[in-house]
Amino acid sequence: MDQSPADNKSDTPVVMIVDDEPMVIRSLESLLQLETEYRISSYQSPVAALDRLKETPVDIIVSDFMMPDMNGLEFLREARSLHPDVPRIMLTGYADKENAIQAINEVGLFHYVEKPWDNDYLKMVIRNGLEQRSLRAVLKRRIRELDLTTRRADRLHEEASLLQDELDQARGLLHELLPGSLPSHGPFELAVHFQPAMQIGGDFYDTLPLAGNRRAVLLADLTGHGIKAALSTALLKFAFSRFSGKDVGPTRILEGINSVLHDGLPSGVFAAAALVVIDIDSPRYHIANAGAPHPLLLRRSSRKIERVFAEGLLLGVAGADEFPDVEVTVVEPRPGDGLLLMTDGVTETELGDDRHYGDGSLQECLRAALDKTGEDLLRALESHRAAQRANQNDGDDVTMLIIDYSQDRSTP
Amino acid sequence: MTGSDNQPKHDTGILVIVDDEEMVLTSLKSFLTLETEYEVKTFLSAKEALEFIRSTDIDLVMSDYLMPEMDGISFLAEVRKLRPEVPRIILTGYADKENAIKAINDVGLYQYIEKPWSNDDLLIILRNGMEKQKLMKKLREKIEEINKAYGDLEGLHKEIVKTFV
Repeated sequence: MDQSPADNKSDTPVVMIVDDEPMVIRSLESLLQLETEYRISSYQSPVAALDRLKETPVDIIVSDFMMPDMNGLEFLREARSLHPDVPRIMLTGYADKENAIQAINEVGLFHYVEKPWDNDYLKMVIRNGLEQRSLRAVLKRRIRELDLTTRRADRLHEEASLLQDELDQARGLLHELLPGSLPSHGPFELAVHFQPAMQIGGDFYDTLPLAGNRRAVLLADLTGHGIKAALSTALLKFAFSRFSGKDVGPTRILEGINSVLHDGLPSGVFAAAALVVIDIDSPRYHIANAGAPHPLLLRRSSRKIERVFAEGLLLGVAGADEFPDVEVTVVEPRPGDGLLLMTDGVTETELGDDRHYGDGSLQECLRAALDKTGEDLLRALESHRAAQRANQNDGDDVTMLIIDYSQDRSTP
Repeated sequence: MTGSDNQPKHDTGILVIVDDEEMVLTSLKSFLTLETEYEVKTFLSAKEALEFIRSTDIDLVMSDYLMPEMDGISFLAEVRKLRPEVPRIILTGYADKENAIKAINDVGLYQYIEKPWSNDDLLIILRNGMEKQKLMKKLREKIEEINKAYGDLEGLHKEIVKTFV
């Protein structure tokens, strides 16, 4: 196993000199000691030099060709098999030059230098050899690093695709939690537009029958996205469904959902919600609001749009003891009126440059499309909004729900 | 180790040679065309060579020292500005050797070759220079690949965090 230069005790390169003539060693030593920073390790015997190489590597080898117990070629061949990345330089007399040239490929010589050598030239050759060695070492490390990074990315891709499968399942489950269609109830007709975000968002809507020919309509927006939103939506659905057929009003329902969200999820999930209880016989709306956008009452006969105020705390924030009284506003619908509920994904649609769709644009569009009802109206609102948004995909779920009241319909 | 992944092929590449003597260029070109796979581009004028180098991704440059319009050191200093990673080799007569040695550090020469040179030496020097250049190129590629891989990894990570947390 070859070591890179940086693995040595110090960063100073080690130059190995092998020559059977002490004079040559002395003169090379004094040249390199005087004019370079290299550390020098010199041997008169190639056999002893090989023993050293078996223990610890050097950074470059300069070897003589003609030596008594082992010639330079044999020595460098052995050195190459021990440390293939260490550049090898051979010093040759003029008579041996042909042999040296032939050996360039045989022992993978970096360079040969003729004796008597030129000091500057030899220094330059050694410097270039060392530079090449360190380039190779750096390249090796980079290739290893790239390999590791690629493997990490592959693993992450695998995990991501597993997670994506789970997310798709969660999305499917979430879809099943939403009612397929919203039936009409006597003169009250319901329509909804639900535009899920790319990632799983937290919008939820549902309706329930209550005792006394009443109907509860809930539109909620849970904090968080992804799996967490899917799970809390399931919890919300469960909390709401417990009131099916019960003789309760908006206050009890919101209090009940608040407790389940607050106690049921330790990690803290909150929901903004608007709740309308439709008294089909009177007819009347009992409207409560827990931090959701104010519902808009569309008085079509007088062409007015009224905001329905009812203040309340987000669900899940406070425990049952601290949960403030729920304010309930009662509205008597006139024939032709519409009641529009929405989540904040509508007005907070990003238009770019830090601007949002906002209440103004919504009301402007509503005024223009006021004569439309049900799905037609929601479609008009959606296309107005979608035409202005900055991104093709919404960052948040967008849900609009409208309840239209017409006297024409007879109670079934 | 020969032929393994981190030892790039070094018997090909674009070599630029500048010398004001046509004879030198002709003999170098025919020798190198015979002995190597290099694509050899020769120039009598340093200025024309610079024009070529500006527009071509070359691998190695070798220049004579004494030339009338621009000396070899000034020429190689210009090449360094254009393509700092291309190894630069100078051919020098004995009289100019001292200047060439000084230029090793001043303009970052890869190597000098004394005239008259031995063709065997020349082949080794060119081979080593080419190999150095190929190593540098490969290193730069790897660093780019690594940066890209890290970028992808970070993007993927962000995506996952955004979806699930």
